[in-house]
Amino acid sequence: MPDAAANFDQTILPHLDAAYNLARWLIGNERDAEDVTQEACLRAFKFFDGFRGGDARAWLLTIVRRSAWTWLRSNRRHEEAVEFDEELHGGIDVSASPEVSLIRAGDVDAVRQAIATLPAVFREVLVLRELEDCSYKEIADIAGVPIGTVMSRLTRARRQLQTALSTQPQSGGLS
Amino acid sequence: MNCEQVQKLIHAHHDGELDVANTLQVDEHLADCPSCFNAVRQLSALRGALQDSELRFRAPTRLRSSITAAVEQAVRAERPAVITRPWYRQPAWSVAAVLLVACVLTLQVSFRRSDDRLLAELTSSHVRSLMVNHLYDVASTDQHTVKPWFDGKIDFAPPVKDLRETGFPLLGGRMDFLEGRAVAALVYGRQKHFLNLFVWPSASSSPAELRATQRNGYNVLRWSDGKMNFGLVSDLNEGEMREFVREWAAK
Repeated sequence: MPDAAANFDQTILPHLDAAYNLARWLIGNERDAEDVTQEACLRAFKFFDGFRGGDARAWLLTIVRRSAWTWLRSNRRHEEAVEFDEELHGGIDVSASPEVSLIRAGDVDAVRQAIATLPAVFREVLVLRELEDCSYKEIADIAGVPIGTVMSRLTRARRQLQTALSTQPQSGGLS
Repeated sequence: MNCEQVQKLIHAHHDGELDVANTLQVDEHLADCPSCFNAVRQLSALRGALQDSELRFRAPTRLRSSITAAVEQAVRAERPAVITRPWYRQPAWSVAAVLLVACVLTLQVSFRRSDDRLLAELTSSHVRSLMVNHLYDVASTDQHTVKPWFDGKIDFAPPVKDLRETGFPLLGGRMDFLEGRAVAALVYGRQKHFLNLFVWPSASSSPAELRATQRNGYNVLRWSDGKMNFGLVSDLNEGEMREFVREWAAK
C-alpha cells in the first residue's frame, strides 16, 4: 500500500511548477515565493483528506493563492494588498480599444517588467490565463470570484499591459 | 452586433470561451470592422509576447526537495497517533480511496476520449450559456410554446416537459451545438440555480443507464431513453439533479 507521502508526491507535486509560478508572480521575489509555496504545499498535504479527487492543480493553486494573499497582506504596502474593488473602479471599459502597437512585445524583460507593475488582482488572472492556461471557470474557482469578475479583470489587465508595452522607452536594458 | 457589444466579447472570443452563436456574430462583425479587427490583432500580439517560456517561473530543485523532506517528516510525526485509529479512518486509506477513484476516472478518460470530449462540451456549453446571458432563444414557461419553437430549427422534435409542480419550472429553450450537431437545450430553474438539459437523438435504440459525473465543479448527469440522449448540467447538487431525472421520467 503506498503511503500518504507517496500519494502526495504523485498527485500534488507534479503541479509544483504551476504553484511556484503563481506564488512567484504574486509575491515578486524568489525567497518569499519559495516559503509561501512550501507552506501551501504542506497545508495541501495536511488537508489531503479533504481533496475529493478532481482537478489537483486547481486545488493546489487555490491554496497557494490564499497563502500568497496572506503574505501580501502582512508584508506589502496597503494598496497592493487591498483586493480590487470592481464597483469603485468601474466595470469593463468598452470604449474603442486604444490604438497601441506592442513595440516592446519581443523583449522578454520588458514584458516581465510590465506584468510586474500590474496590480496583484490583475496579475493573478493574467498569469493563470496566459501562463497556466486555466479556463475562466477554473480562475473563478481559484480566485473565489464570479466569472464576470474574471472577465473584467482580464480585460483590464490586458489593457494595462498593452499600454505599458507601447509606452516604455525603446532603448536601455531593464533587468 | 455593434462595436460596443463586440468589444465586450472579444476577450472571451479570444480565449475560446464564447458560445457558438456569439462567436459567429463576433466573427461576422470582425470581417467588416477594421477597428475591432485591429483590437483582436492586438490581443493576439499580446498573447504571442506572453508565450515566451522564460516568463513562467519553474520551481527550484531545492524547493522540491525541501517540500518532500517536510512531508516525510510530517508523516513520521503523525504515525503514532494514526495507529490508534481504526483502519478505515487512517488517512492513508482515505488517500488510497481517493487515488483509486482518480485511477478509475483516469482509466475511463483514456478509454473513452470521445466520451470525455462530450462531457467537456456539455459543461462548457452550460458555462457559456450563463456567461454571455444567452440562456434561451425562446423564453417561455409554457411547454406548448417551447416545443413548437424547435420546429424547423433542428431535425428532430425534442420532448419538452414542464416540471413546475415539482420545483423545476421550465424557463425556456435554445439551440446549441454538441459534437458538431445541433441539439436542443431546455433551461430549467431551481431556486437560484439553472439547469441546462441537452437533448439529441440517440444512435442506439437501447436505453442507457444514468451516469453522474463532475467536471470543473459542475454536475453532469447523462442518460438515454432509447430514443433521445439527455445531458443535464448544473451547479446544483447531485441529489436534487437525480430528483429532476426521476420527475422527468415519471411525467
